[in-house]
Amino acid sequence: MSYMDRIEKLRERVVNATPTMDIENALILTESFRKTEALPRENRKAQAFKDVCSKKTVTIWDHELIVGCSGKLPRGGVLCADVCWSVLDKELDTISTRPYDPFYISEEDKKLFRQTIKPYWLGRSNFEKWEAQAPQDIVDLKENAVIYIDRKAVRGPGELTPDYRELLAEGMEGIIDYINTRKAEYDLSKPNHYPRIAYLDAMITAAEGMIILGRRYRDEALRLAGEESDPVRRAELEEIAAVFETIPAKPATTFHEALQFVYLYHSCIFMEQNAASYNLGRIDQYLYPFYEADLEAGRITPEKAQELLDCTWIKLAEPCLFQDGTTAEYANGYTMFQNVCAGGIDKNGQDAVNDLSYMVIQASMDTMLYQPSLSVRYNLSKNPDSFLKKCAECINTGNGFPAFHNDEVGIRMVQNKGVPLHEAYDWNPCGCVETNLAGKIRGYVSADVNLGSIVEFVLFRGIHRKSGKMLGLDTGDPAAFKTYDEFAAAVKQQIDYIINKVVEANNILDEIWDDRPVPFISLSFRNCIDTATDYTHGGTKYPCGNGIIYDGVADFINAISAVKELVFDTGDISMDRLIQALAADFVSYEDVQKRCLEAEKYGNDLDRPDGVAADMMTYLAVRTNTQDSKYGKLMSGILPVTAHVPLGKTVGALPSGRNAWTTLTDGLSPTGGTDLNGASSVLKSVAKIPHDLYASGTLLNMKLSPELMKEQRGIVNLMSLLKTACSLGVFHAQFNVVDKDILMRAQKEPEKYKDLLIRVAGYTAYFVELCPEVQDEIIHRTIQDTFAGQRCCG
Amino acid sequence: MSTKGRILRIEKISTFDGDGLRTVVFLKGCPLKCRWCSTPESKKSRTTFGVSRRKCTGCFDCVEACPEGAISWDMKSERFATNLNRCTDCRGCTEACPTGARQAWGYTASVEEIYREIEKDSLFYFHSGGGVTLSGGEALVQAEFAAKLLERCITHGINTAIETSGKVPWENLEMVLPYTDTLFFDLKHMNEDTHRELTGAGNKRIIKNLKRIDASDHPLSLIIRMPVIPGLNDQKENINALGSFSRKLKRPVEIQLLPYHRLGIETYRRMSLAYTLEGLESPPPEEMERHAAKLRLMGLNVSIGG
Repeated sequence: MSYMDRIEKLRERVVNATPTMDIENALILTESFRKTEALPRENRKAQAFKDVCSKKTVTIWDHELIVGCSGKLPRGGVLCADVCWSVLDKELDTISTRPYDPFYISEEDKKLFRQTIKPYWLGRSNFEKWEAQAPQDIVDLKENAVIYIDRKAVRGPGELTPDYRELLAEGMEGIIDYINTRKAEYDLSKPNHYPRIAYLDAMITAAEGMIILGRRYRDEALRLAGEESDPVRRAELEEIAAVFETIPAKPATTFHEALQFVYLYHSCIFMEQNAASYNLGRIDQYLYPFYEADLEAGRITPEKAQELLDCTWIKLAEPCLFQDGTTAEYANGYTMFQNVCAGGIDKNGQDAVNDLSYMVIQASMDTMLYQPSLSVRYNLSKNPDSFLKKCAECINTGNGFPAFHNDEVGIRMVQNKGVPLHEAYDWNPCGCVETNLAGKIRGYVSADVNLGSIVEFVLFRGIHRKSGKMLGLDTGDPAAFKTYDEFAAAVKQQIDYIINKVVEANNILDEIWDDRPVPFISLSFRNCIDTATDYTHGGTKYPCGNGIIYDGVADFINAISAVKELVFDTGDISMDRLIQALAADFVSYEDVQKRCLEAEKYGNDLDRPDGVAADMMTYLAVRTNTQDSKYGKLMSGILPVTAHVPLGKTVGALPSGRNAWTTLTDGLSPTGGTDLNGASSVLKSVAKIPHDLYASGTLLNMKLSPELMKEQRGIVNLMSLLKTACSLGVFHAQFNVVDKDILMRAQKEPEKYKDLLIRVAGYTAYFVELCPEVQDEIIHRTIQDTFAGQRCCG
Repeated sequence: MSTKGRILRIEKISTFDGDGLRTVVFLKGCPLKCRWCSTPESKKSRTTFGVSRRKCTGCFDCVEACPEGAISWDMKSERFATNLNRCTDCRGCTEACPTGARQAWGYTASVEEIYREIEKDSLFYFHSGGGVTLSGGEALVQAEFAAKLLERCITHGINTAIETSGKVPWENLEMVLPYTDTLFFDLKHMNEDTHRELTGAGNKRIIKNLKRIDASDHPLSLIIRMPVIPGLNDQKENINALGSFSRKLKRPVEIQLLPYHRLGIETYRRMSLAYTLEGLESPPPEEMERHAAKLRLMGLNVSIGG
C-alpha cells in the first residue's frame, strides 16, 4: 500500500473510536499499592509503574508501524487512581452523558471501580486532600469563579518536556548505569543519605519497567508475525520486533528506532501520571541525526521517513484527556496538548531548520487531526522564508496548525524563568502556548484569575454581584475618586489582593502535590538523578513556581479604558450614574450602555485603551512574577483554553458595555465586533501587552477577512503578517479566515453571527445587517477554500 | 496653518490598489457621477448622512437633537430627510440616535493627523512591500492636501499610490506626480459621448491628462484601470479602443480590468438614493478572462482586479 493509504486506514480507526474510560492501569496500580504499604512513597509509585508495564494489555493494531498505548484502549481516558480516583467516583453515572468531553464506561468497569479501586483510595487522593485543606475564603473565590484552581488537582500537572536527545543516546540501560554511578556516591552510614539511595532505587525500578514493556511489544510483534499470512505485513511486524530488540534498553541506532523509543517513552509518562501537555519538544532537532545517518546509509527514503512520522502523529491523536466535568468546561475537546515543535535556532544561535522541520509540518498536513499540537518556533532573522511559507501553507489547510511562535520572545520568556541565554536558545513550546526547556524546567500553570471580577470589585467595593458576597477588597467609594490615577490605584489594590489569595492557595497545593512523585518522568531530567530528587520536589535544573492565567483581558482593558474615557477624560457620565447603570445591567440605562459600547476599544491601535493595556498588563505580570513560592517565583500567562466562557457567567455588567453573565473574551483577542480596523490594528494593540513578561505564554486567535487571503497573494500576505507580528513582539498567533461556509451559515442563522464584520474594498459592515443581495455578492466574491479552523489551542 | 483635507475613511491592511499590505485613504468629493459608483457617500465634499432602515425605530431623537432644525420626517418617502444647507456638521444627530441607525460620512483632518494614522502601520509596509494609496471620491480634487500628504509619506520611505479618474485640471495632477510611485488611472469609456452619458462628463480632459503623464519624465508606474460594467462599457469596440489607445502610449503600462460589483447598494438605500443599475449582475470570471485575453492578444500586460 502507498503510504497515504496506510495513514488513511489508521486515521479512520482513531476518528471512529468512542472515548472510553480505561481503568485497567488503575486496577493494576491499586493491587500493587496494596502490597507495598511499608515502602517509601517514591518506591511504591515506581513499583506500581513497573507492575503496570508488566501486566497491562499490549496490543499492536492492524497497519501500525509505530506501536504503543498508555492504556488498553486506543481512545481511552486513563484513570490515574492515586491522583484523582474521586473524580470518577463523583461522575461514575454521569460521565458518559455530561455535556463536555463525555466518556463511555461499561457497567462491568463501574462495578470493578466501586469494588476494587474506591475502597483502597478513599481519602487518599490529591483532590480529596485539596478539598479538605482549602481555606474557606479560597473556596468562596473558586466556587464563585473569581479564581479557578482545581485544574491540576484533578489530574497530574503535565507541562513538561523530557530530554529525548539524552534518552535516545543512552537507552534505559545507559540511564540505569548512570543512576548506579551516582548512587555509589552516597553512603548509608551518613545521615539523610538513605532517602537519596531509596529514591535512586525507585528510578531504577521505573526504568526497568519500561524495558519490560519494550520486550512485551517485541514478543507481541513476533507472535503476530508468526500468525500473519500476508508476507508484507509479516515483514512489517518482524521489523517492529527488530526495533524492540534494541530499544528502549539500548540507545536508538535508526530513525525508526528513535521514533518508536520516543513514542514508547511518551506513552509511559501517561501511564505513570495522566495529564495534559506532555511534550515531544524539538523533534526535528533530536531526530535529525538519525534521519541523516539512515539516508546516508541508504536505509531510508524521505517518503518512508514521512510515513513513520505520520504514523506517530496518528498515535498522538489517540489518548483522550480524562478530567472532571468542571475542568472539562474550562478546557474541553479531550485535548492532550502534546506539543511537537519545528524550527527555531540551534545552540550557536543560528538557523536550525532542516529537512525534518518541513516533514514535521507535512505530517500535520497529511493527517489533519487535532493532535499532536504542532508548533513552530519562527525566528524572523534566522529562519528561511521557505520555512515560513511551509507554515503559511499548513495554516491554509484549515487544520488549525501550526501554532505560530515568535522565537525571540519565546527565548526571553524562558530567560525570565531563570535560564541563561545560551540554554534558552533550545526552548520549546509546551502544551498550548507555554514555554519549556527539555529535561531542565519544572513548573506549571495552577490557577485562572477572572479579570472581570477585579473591575467589579473596584466598582462595587469588593462585592461579588452574582453571589452578593464580599469576595474582594473594599477600595473605597468609587464616586469619591477624583482622578483616573486614583481609580487605577484601586484596580491595582484588587489585583494585589487576588494575587495574594492565589499565592496562599498555591502554598497549600504545593504541599499536597508533593505527595505525587514521578520517578519515571524524572529519568529524563538529568538533574533529578544528579540530586536524587524527584521532578515534583524541584529536582530539575530550573524549578519554577506555579503559573497564573489571566482571563478576560479585553473585557478588563475595555472596562478600565471606558471608565477613564467617560468618567474622567470627557466627564460624559458620572461614576454614580455608571454604577447605577451597571447594577441594573443597563436596563433603563440604554443611553449609558450606548456610550459604553461606543467608548474606545482595545484592538484598534488607539492610545487610550492600549495605554491601559500596557500599564495594567505589565503590573499584573510583574506582581505575579515577583511572588515567591516553595519552588521558585510564580509565572504569569494569558491562555484561557475555554475558561473565559464559564468565568463570564459570574461577572455582572461591565463599563465596556458588556452585559451581565455573558462570556468574556478569549486570550489576547479584542472583543468580537469591536476591532473595526482590521488585522494590522489588532496586532498593534496586542503588541502593547508585554508578552515577554508572561513566561507561561500568551495566546492570540485572529480572524482574517477573506479578501486578505485571496488567490496566490494570500499566502504571501499571511507571511507578511506573521513577520510583522514578530517585529512587533507578539508571541503567538493562530489564524482563521472568514470563509464562504461561515458567510452562508451567517445568512441562515444571523443571530449567531451578529459580530461578523466584513471589510470589502473600503466598506466595513456587520454582515448580518446587509441586505440579501449584498450578502450574496460578498459570498460570491469570497474564496471557497476553508482557512485555518476554529481549533483554539490551549 | 496646516493644510486640511476632507476624508471619507481610512482602510488599513488593504490588498487592493497597489502592492503589499496598504493603508487606503479615501478622500471626499468627486466631479463624476458614474452610474455604477459603489461609494455614493464619497461624492460630495461635505458631510453626508445615511439611515439604516433596518435599525431606525422612527423615534425622532435625531430631529430633536438637531439645533438647526435641519432634520424632518418626509411623509412621502417615509424617512428622515436632512437639509444639508442648514446642517453645521455638529454630529448631535448621530450621537443622539439610540440604535446607531443614523451615520455621518466625512470628517476634516490635517496632513499631520492623517500621516500619523498612516505611519502606524509602517512595519506592515516594510514586511509586505506595501504603502499608502489615496483614493476617493476623486483624491485629486484636494490636490494640495494630497501632494503634502504624499510628500510626507515618500520622504519617510512609505511607498505611495494614487487612484484617480483623471477628471481634474492638469495643475492638480502636476502637484502630486513627483510624490507618486504608482498611478492608477481610470478609463471608464473611450467614447466621449458615451462617457458623458455614463459618468455625467466627457473624457477629453481625461485622455489629454493621461497622454501628458505618459509623455512626462516622472518615474512612476502607470496602471490603466477599466471597471467592466456589463452592457455599459464592455462592448467589443470599447475594449478594442482601450487596447489601441494603450498600445500607443510611450511607457510600459499595465491594464487592470475591475469587475462590476453591487456592494454599494446598501449605502444607496441608507442615503435614500435611487440605484439605477438594480438587477445588473457582476460579470462572470470567464467573461472577464475573455476581455483580458483580447487585450493580451494586442500585446498588452493585463490583470483582473478584485
